Amino acid sequence: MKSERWQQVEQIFADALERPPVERARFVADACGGDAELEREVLSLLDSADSAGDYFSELADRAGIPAVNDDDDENLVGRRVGNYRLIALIGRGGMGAVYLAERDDEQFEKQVALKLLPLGMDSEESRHRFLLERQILARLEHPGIARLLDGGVTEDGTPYYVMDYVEGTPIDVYCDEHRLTVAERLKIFLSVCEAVQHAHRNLVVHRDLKPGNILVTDSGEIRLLDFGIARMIDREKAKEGTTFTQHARPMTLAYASPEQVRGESISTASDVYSLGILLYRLLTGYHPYASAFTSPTDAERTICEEEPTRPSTRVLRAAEPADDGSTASRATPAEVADARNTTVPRLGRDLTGDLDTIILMALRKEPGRRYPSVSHFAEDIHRYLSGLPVSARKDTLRYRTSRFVRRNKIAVGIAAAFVVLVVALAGLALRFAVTTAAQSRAIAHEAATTEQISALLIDMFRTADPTAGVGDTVRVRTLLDRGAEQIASTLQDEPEISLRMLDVLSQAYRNLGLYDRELALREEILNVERSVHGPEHPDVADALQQLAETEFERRRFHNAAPLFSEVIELRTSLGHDALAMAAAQLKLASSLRELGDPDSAEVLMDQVIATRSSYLGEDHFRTVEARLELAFVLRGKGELDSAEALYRAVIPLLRTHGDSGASILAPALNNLAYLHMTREEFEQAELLYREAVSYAQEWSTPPNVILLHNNLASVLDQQGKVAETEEVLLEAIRIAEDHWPEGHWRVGSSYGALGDFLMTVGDTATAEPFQRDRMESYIQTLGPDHAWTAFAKAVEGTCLTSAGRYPEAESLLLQAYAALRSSSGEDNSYTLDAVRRLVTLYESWGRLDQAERYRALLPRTEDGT
Amino acid sequence: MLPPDEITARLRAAGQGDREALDEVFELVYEELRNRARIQRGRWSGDDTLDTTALVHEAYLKLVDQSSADWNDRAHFLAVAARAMRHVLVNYAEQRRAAKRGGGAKHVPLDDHNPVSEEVAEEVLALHEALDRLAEKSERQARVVEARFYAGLAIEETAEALNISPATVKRDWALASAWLHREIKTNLT
Repeated sequence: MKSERWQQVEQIFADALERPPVERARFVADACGGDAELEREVLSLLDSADSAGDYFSELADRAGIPAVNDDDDENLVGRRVGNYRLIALIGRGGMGAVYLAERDDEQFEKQVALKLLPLGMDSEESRHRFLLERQILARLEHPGIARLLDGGVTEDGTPYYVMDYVEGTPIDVYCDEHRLTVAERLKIFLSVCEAVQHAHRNLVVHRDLKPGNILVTDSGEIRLLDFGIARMIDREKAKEGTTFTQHARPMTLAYASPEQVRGESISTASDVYSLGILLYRLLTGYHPYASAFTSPTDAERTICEEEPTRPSTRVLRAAEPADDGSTASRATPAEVADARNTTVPRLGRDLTGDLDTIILMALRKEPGRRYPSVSHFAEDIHRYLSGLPVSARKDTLRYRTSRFVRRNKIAVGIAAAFVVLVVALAGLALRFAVTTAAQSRAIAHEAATTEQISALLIDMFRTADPTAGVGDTVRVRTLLDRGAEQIASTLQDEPEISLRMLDVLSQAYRNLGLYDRELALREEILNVERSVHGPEHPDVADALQQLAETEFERRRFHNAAPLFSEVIELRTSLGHDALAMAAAQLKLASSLRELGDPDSAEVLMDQVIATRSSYLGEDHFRTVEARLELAFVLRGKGELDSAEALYRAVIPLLRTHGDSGASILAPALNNLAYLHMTREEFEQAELLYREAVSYAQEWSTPPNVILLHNNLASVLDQQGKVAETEEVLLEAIRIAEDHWPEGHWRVGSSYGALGDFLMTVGDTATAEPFQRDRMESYIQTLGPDHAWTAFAKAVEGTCLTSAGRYPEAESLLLQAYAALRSSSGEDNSYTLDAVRRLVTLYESWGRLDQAERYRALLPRTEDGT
Repeated sequence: MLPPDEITARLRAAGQGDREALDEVFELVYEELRNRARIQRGRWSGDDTLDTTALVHEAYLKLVDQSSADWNDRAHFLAVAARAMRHVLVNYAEQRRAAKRGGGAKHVPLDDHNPVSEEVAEEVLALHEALDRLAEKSERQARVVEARFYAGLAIEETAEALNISPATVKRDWALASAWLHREIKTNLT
């Protein structure tokens, strides 16, 4: 029924379309013979038909698929072009359609690819470009580039050319499908470089290098395709070429270089960049930029401004969850590693160091800072594969010195926020000061507010970096001091509030690293508690323990140990149970260990572990934490095997304890690593340090993270891994630059660590700018007379000596010597070190009498006579 | 994956009405098109487009044994591929819709292989549903739309795939596109 009706519609509609538009309405009315519904339906469809064509073309366009083509000109499958018969359309690009074709007039069945300028694009310019592409291909004869076989013009004047039909797989897919290792991928990438080099030697820049244009055949050979937007770079053509830059078909953004997206002039360096992205992708499975390309503007910003993620870091990071439903296509790190026939940690390790450096050098934003040519790029990969030092290394070190651009504005902002909160807190304290005890009960909800503010304040002091801005710290400190005074003078009659405020302030001092002030407040709190409750009271025990902890934090163990003993005694006489004493016992054990009494520490720790096991259970976090301390004690006693066994037992338990476990994993791993270091088991130590670093980055403070980097660097150095050592020290610099403002001594220290290392490998010239930066930051933030500043000057003096800049070196070394002599004395080892440096300077300078004069200051055993 | 001569044999069986063989071939072709779509993104035609026509032809070259295939096999293949291509696109659109409903921010990662943008996803799905309704009126017209719109097949190829005349393809397309356009317009507004 229904379909019969539709057949009527179909017939009348088709017939109506055959007629001129003006006659259609009348025709339909006649044909429907009074069936008003039918007539309405057909007219409505005819009306819709007017715009349907445009609608579907436009919908196809928006959906990103080829438009339905009514005149069918574009698809010429089955037709003959020259001596070829077109078999299938295999591609359609901006610059023409590519068909699979066969020679029609000969017996041999060779399949070729035939590219034809599409009819619609037959403008003077596209014709010109098409012919130029043909000309470019004709210049190139290389096994890695699809060959030009033939070319001509069809009967109707459309140009075409014929090239090898390459049956292959895009290079990235090929590598994954064959599970090629990193080394195998590098080799296949080198053959891509050869083909691109060939093009460059023939003055052709490809400009659209990406996996889809680089196929690998079944026999494993690569073929470079699609020189559609390639450009010749000889001078004559360059003039015409300038028009291409403006009209070139959009390049593939994911592989486009900054100069390409900005529409600036393009050179072989642009291909170096695209090859860098390609290599990045082949090795890591990901694109180097973390940001998405949500729009062309975003893409341009990302490409031009965002620093690529280090390849070794990229492979460790889980893929960000895709929120567009395309998760299926996004490989996890484990899948990526598997496709490279390796594991995630091993892949990370393989990429760390030279490969990171090589790839990042190819991806520099400034074309002039990349490899000067594809051959240099390839040469470095060859060097890497043969275990030779790569050229990118030294260049990267120099490059880094000129790019100290990051600042931490947030830290400064937080410092400013402290001030506001301290003022608020001081205000509340004053309001409490003028109320009586009864009134203060009446404003209980305000007390709750105080709780919140103090909690927030403590939290902010904890999370923010106190050294973010020296000026701000000073201001915060002044305010805290004033608050402490006010509390002492005005809250005498309100011990409860006073104690609470003092506690807040002392925590604030601790988080600012002002331990002396914290100590003074802790002592005051203890005194107040004693005067309120008498000597034996749980609150007194708590205050005493806090005081002991403060001494412990200051590493003044000889003070901390008797205080902890006192806490234990007090708690015993108060009848506290064993569990309540365990924390003080543990700290006492640590103090005794530090004071060189590991035997007593071990006895205490056995007690703590027994207590916590029976009260809390063997696997409780507190028990595990105590076993960790015992491992530390055992290591101190030189019982390395038992210590190691304990670490190995405890570390997996920490992993089961969520955040609290994770937060102490880094020190645990660091300690175990150190144990392996003392046994000269460097490989194991390295693995543990690396793991410690990854935990510390999430759970620890920047100074600890940097400390771990330095430990890692030293174990790498021990193994002679120069490039990796530098990489780790550079990473430490990056962390320091991220967290402290330029010129901060911690940033300077991180430069110095790298500089020192470079000097030990004899690269004084590269070390010099780092040492100079350290020195300048010390002068700026520690002061010109600080002992560290003097030492930094001495080291810089030695660098300048090596560079033959004797007068500058002399001035620095004399300053260093004078400062160290006056601060540390004539016989101090640092003072003598400065003297030795002066001797070396004068000897190199040829001023032997001066050298002699300073040598006389050295102890007799080394004065050389 | 079946070897090409096996696929060709299945294709032939499907052409003779073997329902199971048809399902099997459809699965294979669908997978192949999806994989190729992923590979192709950013290949021939820049970043934001999917050259469905090329995909279908590439898949044909890969899946079907060229030494034994005849034009008939090719026709069967194109018919299956057109339908599979429709599902590839609809699947992309559904992913977009799901992502949108999931409340995800508008964030397109660089490695995104989905060529269908959020804006157009609803329209693609509306077309898909309208096409099912059209199939109730005329199965043939629905197949013509699949071949022309989704697979980007030329009129000749569509005629070949559906074993009808080019003139019929043109007439079917004219009516089907007019009807679908009207349906989508009324359903989306």
